[in-house]
Amino acid sequence: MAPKKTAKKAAVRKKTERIWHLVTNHQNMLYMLAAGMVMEPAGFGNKYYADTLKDYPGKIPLFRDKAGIPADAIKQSVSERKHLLPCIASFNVNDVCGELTMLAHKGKTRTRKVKSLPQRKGSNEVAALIPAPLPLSLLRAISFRTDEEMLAFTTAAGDVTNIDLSHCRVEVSEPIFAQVNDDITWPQPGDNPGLFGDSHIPARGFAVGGAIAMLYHLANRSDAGLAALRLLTDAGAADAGNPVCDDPVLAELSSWLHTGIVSEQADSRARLYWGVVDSLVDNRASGSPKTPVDVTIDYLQEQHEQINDPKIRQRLHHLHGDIRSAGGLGGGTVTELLEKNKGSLSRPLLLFCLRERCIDLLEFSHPLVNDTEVLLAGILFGVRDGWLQLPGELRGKDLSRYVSSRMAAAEHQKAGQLSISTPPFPLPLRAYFTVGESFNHQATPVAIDIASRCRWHDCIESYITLPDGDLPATFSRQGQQLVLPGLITVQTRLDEEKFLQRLGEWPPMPAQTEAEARDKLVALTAAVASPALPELPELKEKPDGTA
Amino acid sequence: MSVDRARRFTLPGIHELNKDQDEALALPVKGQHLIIGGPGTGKSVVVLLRARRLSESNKVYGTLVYNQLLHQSNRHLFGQNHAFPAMTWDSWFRRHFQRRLGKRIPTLEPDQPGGYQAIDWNAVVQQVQQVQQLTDDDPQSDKYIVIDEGQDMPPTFYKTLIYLGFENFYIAADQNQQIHPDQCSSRRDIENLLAITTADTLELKINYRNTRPIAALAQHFYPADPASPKPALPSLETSVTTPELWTYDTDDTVPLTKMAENILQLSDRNPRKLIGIITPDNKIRQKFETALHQANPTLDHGKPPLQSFVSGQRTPLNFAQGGVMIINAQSCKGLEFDIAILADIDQHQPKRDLYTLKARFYVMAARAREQLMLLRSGRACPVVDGLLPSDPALLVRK
Repeated sequence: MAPKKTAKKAAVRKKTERIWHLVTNHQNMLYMLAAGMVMEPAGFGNKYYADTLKDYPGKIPLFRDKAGIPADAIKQSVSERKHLLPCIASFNVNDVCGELTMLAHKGKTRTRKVKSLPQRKGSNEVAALIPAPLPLSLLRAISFRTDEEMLAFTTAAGDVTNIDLSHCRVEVSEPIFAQVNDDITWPQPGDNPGLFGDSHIPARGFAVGGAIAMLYHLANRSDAGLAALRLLTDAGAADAGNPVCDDPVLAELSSWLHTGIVSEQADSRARLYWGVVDSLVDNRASGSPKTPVDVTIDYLQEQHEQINDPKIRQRLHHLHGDIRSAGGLGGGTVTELLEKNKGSLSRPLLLFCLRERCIDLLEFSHPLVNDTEVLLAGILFGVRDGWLQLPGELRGKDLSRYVSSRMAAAEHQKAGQLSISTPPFPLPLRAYFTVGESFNHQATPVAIDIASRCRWHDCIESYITLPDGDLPATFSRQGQQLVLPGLITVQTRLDEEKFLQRLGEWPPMPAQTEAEARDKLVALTAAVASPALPELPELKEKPDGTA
Repeated sequence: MSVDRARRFTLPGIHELNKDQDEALALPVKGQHLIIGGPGTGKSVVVLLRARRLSESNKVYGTLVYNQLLHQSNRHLFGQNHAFPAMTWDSWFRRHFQRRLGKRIPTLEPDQPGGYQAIDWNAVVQQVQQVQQLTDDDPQSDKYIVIDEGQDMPPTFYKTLIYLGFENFYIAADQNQQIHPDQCSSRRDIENLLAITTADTLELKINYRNTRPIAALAQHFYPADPASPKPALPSLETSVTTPELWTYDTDDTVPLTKMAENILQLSDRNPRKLIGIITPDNKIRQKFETALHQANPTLDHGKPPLQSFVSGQRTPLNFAQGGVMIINAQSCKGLEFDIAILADIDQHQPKRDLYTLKARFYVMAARAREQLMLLRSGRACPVVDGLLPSDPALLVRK
């Protein structure tokens, strides 16, 4: 009996959440929901409205639940424009550990390393300052004072494409606003040299988030896509016969994802491609107004002048010219451009300059473009848009939670000030339907159900066995029914190749169909514990970014 | 290769709405609101989002625009999934007048037999004022009027609506884009008639639609009316899509046939994009239409849809698909194309009125979202050439 009790106690303890609050306004909250992170003001571009985030650059001020929120913090958060509404976001910081600064009433700060935010704050302390950014995977609720204010928030969210409130708890909460206290001062930053720096754009976080999302959606398209996705959670997969390694450019994905740089043995094509990726990240980080296509062209031009390999020089020269002319009244057809520019460096870059949005690429297919080239283009598209700009249809609930924590982890990778646990990775559907390069036959009934509901009739064939005996030469039909004599048997067969092809097409199947199919596949996996499914273990990242 | 040319409506991202637009969208549902802004500042976006909100909250509302083309373009931008009770202001008002007053609207004599009979606004105002009390089982105070390009309606229109009991207005306007200045409303007219204080009028100041090079070229032609603020240039800089000036049909340039082939290939590379060819008059519109129909270059996706519009045309244009649309300059105001080609710029009139000519170039240039190309045929015109910037950062001569 004793072990049982202990397990129960542990479970109860695990459920207790440590709730801390962020004071902001409804517009900043909307922006953070799109960004997937609580960020410093610079992360908001030109859309930052003064709130509590502006006072301590690099830090996020959080107020402990039931310990008082300074009224000045609320006032400051709605001071910039008359239409702003106060809003309190509540986070469960149970799994956050790292460097924490406590802010005292008079603005004095004290920094310490903690395993988690304290349950209680000191009597003289106003807020905890956590290193930015903080992932929204920790968000528990967004609270407003009144129904009208909450409605204004949800209505504003409905005006834009990159916010999905169905993932969040939005509520009117009198108890939370009852914690607002006029007697608690909100101290302005004191003299803390070195503690606070300039506001910083989480450009690498956005890029990692965008790239992960694109890899996730492209993973349904090919085995190479699924293999590339494995690199997200399994750095070692790059060495273990992963087909991704067959291409010198894509082989560097793992290194870029986990360390932010390419490996020393990367060849010149890989260095050029990932050089473009880094230029795009740097461009966003600097707040430069240059467009991503201009950044790419400028980078290629710069490299063209430096590179010694005459073959690559010539390729770059052609690519550079074709990208420039393709935007105007010259350039030929896309097929002609792809024929002129071959390989996993040129074609992804060409696609990157020919199409603008991630969905454009997900819809794109051309017989000259192979799976690896699409994946590499997908990474560029994801980096260009970043998670922030992705529309709702590319953000599932589980993907959003995962990406949010990976973006924050990518941002904390260098400084190592904060460690956050990563939620489980959501498997793309293809992972359930394939075993290596073969089809997972245990999942065939689910596949047939999907194909039937999505009317992918080309994926299913039904074989009818008629009874023995004298049968008429023709059969009558009544509407959608065929009238057959005797007792028949029907066998349904799935064209697996066509099914997988359909699975990888865009737009994807309806969300409801996918959710129901996923439930069945998860249950099936649990029942048979199929060793065939790729293992995508939960990854706990250390503050230094190593897994 | 088959291709989907559908131009999907997409709501903006939160990062794409600026603070002024946020404020315009947060205005109360009831009351009178005026939003002023230059081309590309996102007036139509806030108008359409306002209409969507009204639609979603089941309010009785109507969206009014100046002409059929704007109506067709807005219908596409609104999205196919929502009912969009929108119409041109003229036809809406005629019907409304007849329903409320039980008689035909007074009109002016047409310019020519069988011609358009414009509304006689003086008579309309008189008749509405004479009615002591409108029998109103259907009060207008709980209805909502959303107006795009509100500067194009005359002051008497607003005055009459007030008499008729309307109380809720959401109007976007730009005094620098009046189609018929003598029949339009100024900012002050609208403010006075709807009792909006100048301080309550919201100004959208940042160009939202165009790339910076396109906006910079458009500003080169800015006619400067202080009532509508000159939009600030968008921040996004690009050298790839700097507006281009192409000459064709001369000894050392390509003929029109080749130019038409290039336009078709541009469309073929971008099947979801709508290319607008804006022509000075019907003759040049027909010239390009013929050339594009006859051209037969190598294409991946077959010939793109070619549409043409002439004033009075009943067949609606389809803004929901990519392809090429050829329209005259007089019809282009308020429209938006992914790529705009200003054809035969040397043929635009009136050459003696530089202010009007500049204003026309301002409006035409601002139609382009991503890329803008100016074409001139062999006959160079010193007046038009004199209007063009010499700075290659604004206009690249090809």
